[in-house]
Amino acid sequence: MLAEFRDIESQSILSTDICIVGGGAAGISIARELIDADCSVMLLESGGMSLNSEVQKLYQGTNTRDDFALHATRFRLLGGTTSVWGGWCAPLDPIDFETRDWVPNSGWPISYDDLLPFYVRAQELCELGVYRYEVTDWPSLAEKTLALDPAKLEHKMWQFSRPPTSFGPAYEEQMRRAANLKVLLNATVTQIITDPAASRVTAITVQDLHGRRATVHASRFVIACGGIETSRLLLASNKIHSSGLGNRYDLVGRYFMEHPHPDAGGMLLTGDPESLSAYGFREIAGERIATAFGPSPAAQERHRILNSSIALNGPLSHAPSEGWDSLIKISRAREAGKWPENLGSHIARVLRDLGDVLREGYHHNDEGPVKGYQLIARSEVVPNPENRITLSHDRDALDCNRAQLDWNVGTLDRTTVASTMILLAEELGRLNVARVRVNELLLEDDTRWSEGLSWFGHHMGGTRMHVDPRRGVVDADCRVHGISNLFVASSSVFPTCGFANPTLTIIALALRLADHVKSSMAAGA
Amino acid sequence: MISRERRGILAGVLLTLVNALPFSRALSAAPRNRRGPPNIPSDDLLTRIWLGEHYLEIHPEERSASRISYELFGDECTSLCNLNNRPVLQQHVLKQHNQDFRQGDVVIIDGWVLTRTEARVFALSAIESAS
Repeated sequence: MLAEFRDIESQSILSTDICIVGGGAAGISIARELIDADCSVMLLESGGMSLNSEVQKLYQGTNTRDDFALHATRFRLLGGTTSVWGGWCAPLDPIDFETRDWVPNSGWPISYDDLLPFYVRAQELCELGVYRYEVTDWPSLAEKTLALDPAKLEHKMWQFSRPPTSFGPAYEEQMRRAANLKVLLNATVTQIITDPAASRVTAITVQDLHGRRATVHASRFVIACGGIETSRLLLASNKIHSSGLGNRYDLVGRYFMEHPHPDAGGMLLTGDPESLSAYGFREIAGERIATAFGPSPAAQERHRILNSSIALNGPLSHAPSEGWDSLIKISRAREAGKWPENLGSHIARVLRDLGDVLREGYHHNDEGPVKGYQLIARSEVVPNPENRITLSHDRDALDCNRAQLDWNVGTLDRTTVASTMILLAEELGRLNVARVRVNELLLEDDTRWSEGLSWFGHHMGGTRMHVDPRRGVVDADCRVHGISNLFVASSSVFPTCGFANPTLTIIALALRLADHVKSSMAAGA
Repeated sequence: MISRERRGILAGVLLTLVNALPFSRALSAAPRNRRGPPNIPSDDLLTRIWLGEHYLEIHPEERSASRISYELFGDECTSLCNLNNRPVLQQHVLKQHNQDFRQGDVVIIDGWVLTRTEARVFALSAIESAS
C-alpha cells in the first residue's frame, strides 16, 4: 500500500521487518523483490508522487567544484532520479571488477560473473530487451563494425530503456497492491539509531517539513538514498560515534566518483562514411542501442589507463577550418593572459581561411554530406580518498547538516581519455576510416582540462565495498561493516566506477541484496 | 621582405581587428573546452608546412633534409633517393605509414595524431619551403 506520512500520528512508533530508506531505483527494486515474501516491508520516500520544491531543497549542499548543484542532480519523489534519467544502460566490464595494479584502490570483492545473473534480472526492471551488450549479440550490427585490433580497442555498447522507465509510476500500482509492503511518502529519514555499541540499528527517525516525527523499528534496514545522501545520512547519525555510523576508519564519504564527459576531439573521414554506420545510436528490431569505442583490457593494462569510451557526438557536414582553429588558440592563450607561440602564423591562417572562420563563428553548418564527427568521452575516474562527502555547518529545514562535496579530477583521469583517443586514431588510421584530432586540453594540464567538464549526475562511491573494514564501508553483501543489520543499496558502494552509466549496476546490486536479505530472513539470521 | 618590427606592428593591428569581429565574441561565449571542428592534415601545402614546422620544433635534431630522408628510408636512403622513382618512394612511405599506425608509432602535432612517417614527410615540406 501507499500512504502519506502526514496521515500518521506524530510521534508514532512504527514496526516492520525490513525498512528501506529511499524510493529510487534501488529502493523500489528491493521492495518489489520482497513483495509476497514472508516479511513486512516499509519503504520510506522523502518525496511524494511528484516533485515538491521545498522537499527538493533538502538536497541543497555545497559542491566545491561549483560545476553542478547537488539539488539539481537528484530528485526526491517516488522513483527518485529515474523520473528524469535518459535510460542509458550498460553493465560494468569484467575488468572493472578486477584489482588493477595501475589503478589505485581498484578491485571489487565480487566479480562480473557474480553480478551477471542480477544484471540479466535488472534488464526487466528497466524494461529493456534481452541482455545483449556485445556487438556479436546483434548480427546485423556486427557485420558493419570495424575489425578492431583487440590489443588496442574494443566495442562498448549501451541498451536504452525507452521511454526511460520512471520507477515511481511504473511500479506504483504493484506496490500499492502489495499486502506486505507499505510505502510512506513525504517521510524523510534524518537519523539512524543504534544500540550503545553501534553494532545494531534499532530504529530510524522519520520527519517531515510540517514538524511530524515518527520512529520506525525493524530487524533490517536498507539505506538506498543515492550516491551522496547515503553518506550524508551515515555521517549525520552520530549520536553514538561522533564520526557517524560505519565510519570507524574514516571512510564514509570518501572515494566519491563521477563520470566526466569531456569533448575528446574529432575525426575526419578519409574513407567510406558507411564504414562508421554501426556507431552511434541505432534502432534494431524496435530496440535502441548505441555503440562506441573503448580501450581493450589488454590496452588498459599496457598503457596503465582506466576504462573509458569514445563515441560519435554529432556529424560535421562542412569543410573544416584551420583558421578557426588558430583563432581558438589565440583566444585560449589570451584567457591565460598570454600570447600564443607563432602568433604571426596563427593570424596568417585566420586571414587565409577567413571565409570558413566567419562561417564557424556564426555556427553556420552547411547542409551536405558528413565529413567527420565530434567525439565525446565517457570515462572512469580513479577512486581517490580525497574526493569526499562531508557534513557542512549549514543545516536544512529538518535541522540536518547539509552535504559538502570536495573533489576533483586527476591526471590519470585526463590521460586515460587522451590515450584512448590516440588508440582510436591509430586504429581508424590503420583501417583508413578517419583521421583523429585530440582535444588539446587533454594534452595539457589537469586544471585547464577539468574546467568546463560535463557531468550527468553519476554519483558513486562514499560507502565503498571491500571485505576489509579498514578499506571499505560495506562488505561484499553490502552490509555496513560492524553493524549486523544495516545494508546499503546505492551507487555509493561502487569501489570503482568503470565508464558505464551506473543505473543498471545499482539495480543489479539491489536485486542481489534483496536475495541476500530474503535468504538470511529464511535462515532466521 | 618586411622587417621584424613591421611584422610585429602588423600582427598587433590584425589581432585588434580579429578581436573586434563578431565571430571572436561568439568564440569567447562558447564552452571553454568546446572546440571548432578539427581541420585535417590535408593535401594543402601550407597545412603540411605548418605541421612540419611544429614537428621540427619538437625534434630539432631532424632539421635537415638528409637526416629526415635517412629516418624515412634508412639504409636504403641513398639507393631509393637516387632511383628518383616516385611510385617506389611513395609505396615505401605508405607502407611505413601503415606500419606506424599498427605499431603505435605516432606523434601528436597540433592535436592531430600523425604517424611518425607522415610527420617527417611534412617536415620535409617545411624544410623545402624554408630553403
